[in-house]
Amino acid sequence: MDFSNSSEDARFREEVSTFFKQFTGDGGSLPTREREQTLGRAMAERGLVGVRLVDGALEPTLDKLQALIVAEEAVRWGVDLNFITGNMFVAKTLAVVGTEDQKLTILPRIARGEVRVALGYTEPDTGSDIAAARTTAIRDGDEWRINGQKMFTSGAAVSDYIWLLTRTSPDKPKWAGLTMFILPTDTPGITVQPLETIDGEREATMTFYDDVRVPDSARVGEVDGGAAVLRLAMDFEHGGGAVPGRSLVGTAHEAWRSAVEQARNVLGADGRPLLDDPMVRERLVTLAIRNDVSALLELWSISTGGSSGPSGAVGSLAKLHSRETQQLVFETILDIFGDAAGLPPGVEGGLADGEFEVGFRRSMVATISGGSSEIQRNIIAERLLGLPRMGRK
Amino acid sequence: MDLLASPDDRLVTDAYRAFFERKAPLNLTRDCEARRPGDPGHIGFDDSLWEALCDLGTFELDRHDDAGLPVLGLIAEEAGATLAPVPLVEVATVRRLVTRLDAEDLVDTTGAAVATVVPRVVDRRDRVLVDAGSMALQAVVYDGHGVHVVDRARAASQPVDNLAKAPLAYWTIELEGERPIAAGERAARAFREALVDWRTLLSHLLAGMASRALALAVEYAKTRVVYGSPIGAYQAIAHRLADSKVMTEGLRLLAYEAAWAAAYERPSAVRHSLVAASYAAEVAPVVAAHALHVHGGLGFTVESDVQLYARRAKGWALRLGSLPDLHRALGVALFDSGDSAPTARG
Repeated sequence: MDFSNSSEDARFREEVSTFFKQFTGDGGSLPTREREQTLGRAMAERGLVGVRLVDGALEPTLDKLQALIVAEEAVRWGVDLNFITGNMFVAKTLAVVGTEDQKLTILPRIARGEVRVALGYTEPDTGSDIAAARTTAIRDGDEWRINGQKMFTSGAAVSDYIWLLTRTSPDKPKWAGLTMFILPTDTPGITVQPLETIDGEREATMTFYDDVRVPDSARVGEVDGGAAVLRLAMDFEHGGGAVPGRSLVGTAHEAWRSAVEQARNVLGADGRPLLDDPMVRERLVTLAIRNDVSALLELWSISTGGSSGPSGAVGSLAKLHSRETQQLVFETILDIFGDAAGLPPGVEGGLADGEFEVGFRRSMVATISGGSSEIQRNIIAERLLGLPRMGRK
Repeated sequence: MDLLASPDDRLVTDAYRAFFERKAPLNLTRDCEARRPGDPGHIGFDDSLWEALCDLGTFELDRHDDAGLPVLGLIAEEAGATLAPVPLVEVATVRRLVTRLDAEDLVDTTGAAVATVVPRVVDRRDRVLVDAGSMALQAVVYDGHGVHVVDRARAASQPVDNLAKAPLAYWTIELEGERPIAAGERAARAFREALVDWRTLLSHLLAGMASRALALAVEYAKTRVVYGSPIGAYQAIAHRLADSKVMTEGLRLLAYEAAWAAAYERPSAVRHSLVAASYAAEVAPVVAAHALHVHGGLGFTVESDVQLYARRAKGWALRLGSLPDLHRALGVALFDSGDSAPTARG
């Protein structure tokens, strides 16, 4: 085991920090194509989106630790990298199973940081059971006709492509009848409807597919082979791989650090700084321990997966712990500071201009998105502990 | 940065796992806990296992260079996994302490001689519960001013039964008129470092206990059939065990980091040892208690193996000191010391 930071990593962190500093403050605002494209291109030029194309082949530009550093520094400077995260799962998956045409047209644009891909997995009736997708794709000559609806197609309103999971064989067992497509968002028949969420972001959408016609060249992987494509993409998603934009720990750690600084100055009922109150210290100490655990689990999952591959089920340990901790951190901070911490940005008397109030609302999706905590526990139980498969057929 | 076991780490782990599996079966642990104060032999101590462990050259692996504490930590983890009745943590800590103070000839740790350390500040006249105090010939203590060596023969030692089934004994200490072997900042520093060793090695020991207790529960959950299914197929059981897995791996990693930080003399070593100890004291007993719970009523019977772990995990956690004390000290390290960048490893 080696816990040391190399001097190259420290230098890299310094560079990345300087880079994100100039984009600071754009994090909470409306995600516009312009903002994302400017940031995306600038990141691509510096190799910070994580991949580049060399003679048509996708190469990683970051190792996993560097990708984590990019993610952490983005959080530190309040820069939202959501738009890159989904891109990377898709790019890495396309590089393995995509057609030559898809690799030629889509990968270069992702590598240049100028397009965004939205993930069309979950549906109104399926939730975490992604493989239960009911959106159908039916072959019609050389084309496919797609009908159905997707929920939480994050960023679809500002995306160029949708990575769409469909059902092609309703009569086959659930996992055996799926097919993956990638299609331009402006394909006729696609309707994007914003979905207001309590974090105040404009990311979430519902997407409707009404006799959407796409050529067979939009298909990714085999017909009815969507499960394999999905598993690959989800392994890249859960287990990391060099994907910036996903610091599992960063948000909770920055919030903790900020809360400690506030507690030095905010006075309690006894007229002394809250940080002198043993009850407050106890709670902040507990959070620090939890954040440490999250950080080490994340670094362990990075070590497990090698420099760029997926780390699989170990990533679920990190995901489960860090997301639940993120919620605990914001709940506790609101408890400690009381009223002032519950005031949103721009309201008189708010603590740290509403930073914790916003963080609290955002954290509520942490245990749901990217595979719910229950899904992570299933994965840990089955794949790490070897327990029997839960009552599913 | 690489949090996987290195080939050298694996050699140590494999060798000691094989040793403890062969030499320290659970019925040895049971035999050692069946003794009462006053019986021949000591509760929680098997001298032939201890001699075999010393004969392996275990403490010579602690070359007091970079690799010392992490290697001892790996061994402590294996000792914890088998509940081996040996004073590994006590002797390792005291050996390192006397080496730091160049006092090897004042404290006998040659061969299989047992010496120990009291990991909290004592009063000049005190009656203290001493780890390995049943059989240790000497204990090294610190009274806030100087480090002293106390002989058991002069301490009216009195073994006591305890939750951990550890060889604890009360010693009566009288330091008035005694010459310390070190004093002032040198003593304070050596004692501080001994506490880091103590917390770190005990965290490893508890990680080993938690890990094996979880393994017992997983094995049981795969085979025990209730209402037509193995109980491990029910999420109420599986999710509890998944949470235990998170805690166990988290603890293991914190212990490794504490050992690493101490070995490389990082300024954060004290903080890391307190984080590991706090988490160990909190979660190792929980993981072991969950493991017992999963066994149902059978886990509550004396004949079950998991109960050996559940009692010891809590009992040994207490050897770290009280949890509020650990958190208080960690608060000082986090908020008052200027060492202000926990977690993010940048």
